Amino acid sequence: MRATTGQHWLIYALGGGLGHLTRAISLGRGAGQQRHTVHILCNSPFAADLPLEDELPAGSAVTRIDPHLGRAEVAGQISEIVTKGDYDALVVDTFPRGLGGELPPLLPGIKCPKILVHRDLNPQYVRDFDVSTAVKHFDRLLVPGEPAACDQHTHAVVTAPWLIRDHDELLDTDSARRVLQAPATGHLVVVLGSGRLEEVGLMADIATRLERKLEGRASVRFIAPRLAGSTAIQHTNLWPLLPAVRAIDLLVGAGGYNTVNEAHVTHTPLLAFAHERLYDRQTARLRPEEMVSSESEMVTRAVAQLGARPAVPLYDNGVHEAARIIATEGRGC
Amino acid sequence: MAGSGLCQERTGFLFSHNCDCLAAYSCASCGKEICDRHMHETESGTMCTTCAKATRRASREPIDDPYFYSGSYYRGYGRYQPGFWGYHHYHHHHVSDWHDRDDFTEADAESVQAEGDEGFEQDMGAS
Repeated sequence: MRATTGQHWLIYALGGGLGHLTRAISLGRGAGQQRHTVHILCNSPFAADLPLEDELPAGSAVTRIDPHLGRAEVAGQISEIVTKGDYDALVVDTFPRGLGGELPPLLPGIKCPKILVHRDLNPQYVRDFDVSTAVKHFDRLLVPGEPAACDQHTHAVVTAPWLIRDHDELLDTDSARRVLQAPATGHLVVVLGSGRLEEVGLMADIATRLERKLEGRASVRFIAPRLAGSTAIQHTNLWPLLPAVRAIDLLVGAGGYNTVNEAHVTHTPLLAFAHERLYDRQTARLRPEEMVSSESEMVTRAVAQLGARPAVPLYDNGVHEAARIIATEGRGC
Repeated sequence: MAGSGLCQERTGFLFSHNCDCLAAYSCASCGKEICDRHMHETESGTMCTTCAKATRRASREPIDDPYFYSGSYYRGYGRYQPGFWGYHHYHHHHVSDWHDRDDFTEADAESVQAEGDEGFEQDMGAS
């Protein structure tokens, strides 16, 4: 549906996990504050369980592509939507060639401005698939708060990290504890189950071990959008987590874009695995003191590191600058 | 027509490897940029070897282009057990002091397989 006053942007956010999707929703919220609407394309297996539309401005839409589809079928759906829609801007998250390499033949025929959200990428992919050439199809590169291969490009603009909530939207500590179903007092460890489904199971195991180790010293909450099988610990289905950050004394998770940036900007202590990804380099994003390499190390360090969290400082949310830039580029197709 | 990048098809008789030719076309099926050698005109448009091969396999059309040949066309080649091609030659000559310097070894295989085998643009659940 096209907005009556603002612009309407198509956001390509294909990719596993929650990273691409959460970044797209964050941008959608930023667009809404400037009276624009968005149509988000995603294929995350988590998307079906999440109330994505509730986060977006009225008139926006989310197309959840079946995560089980192969690249040819996905390419067919993408081609249909990208070439036949009526949009003021096309925003492509992370993959200038598309997740399955389906965009290069489509991009030259798309008349509206094209914006690439240029996150860090595996350098071998950048080299072997000539990503620098694919980037030339884009009118603007938005670098969301971390170094990227083409962040020195003449069309690149580096913004603050993109977050799903602004500073003034965070809950106070008491409200956050209630949302997390945590006791009113005492330390709180939050274990985040995200990434691949098997990794959700791993994090559930860690949460269970931490709960036993920290009994009487701290509460442990396991947050996961979906569980891979049954686990010993009860999980809380809370997404997004950022609004409740003031209650979290220690965050245990992985090195994905959202977890790490949310922890860094809010000064939340973080311990994280750097999971292997095809494109994303979690080791490059995590600070050395945050990185953990085994389950037992995670439990040991979490127990040793537990303490009161620092206050959340004022922070800038890069989605607002990004939305302003896209709106400046955007015009009728 | 495609951009100015290299052909992205990966083919090879023994091991798949990158093609060094300049891309001149885009595959109508997967969008991959391809060169003259790896371009095939099909009823569905210009396709890369991989997609054209899959299309023909699905439609059970006869295959008469050597670019579509795979291991099934050379069953037994490269094996040296009794009954396979080459057994007699190796059985009588393959001793410790005999080595052809042009032999293709495992080290050579690693050198052509090292790059591009990660599955980029194949896994639709990657991030």
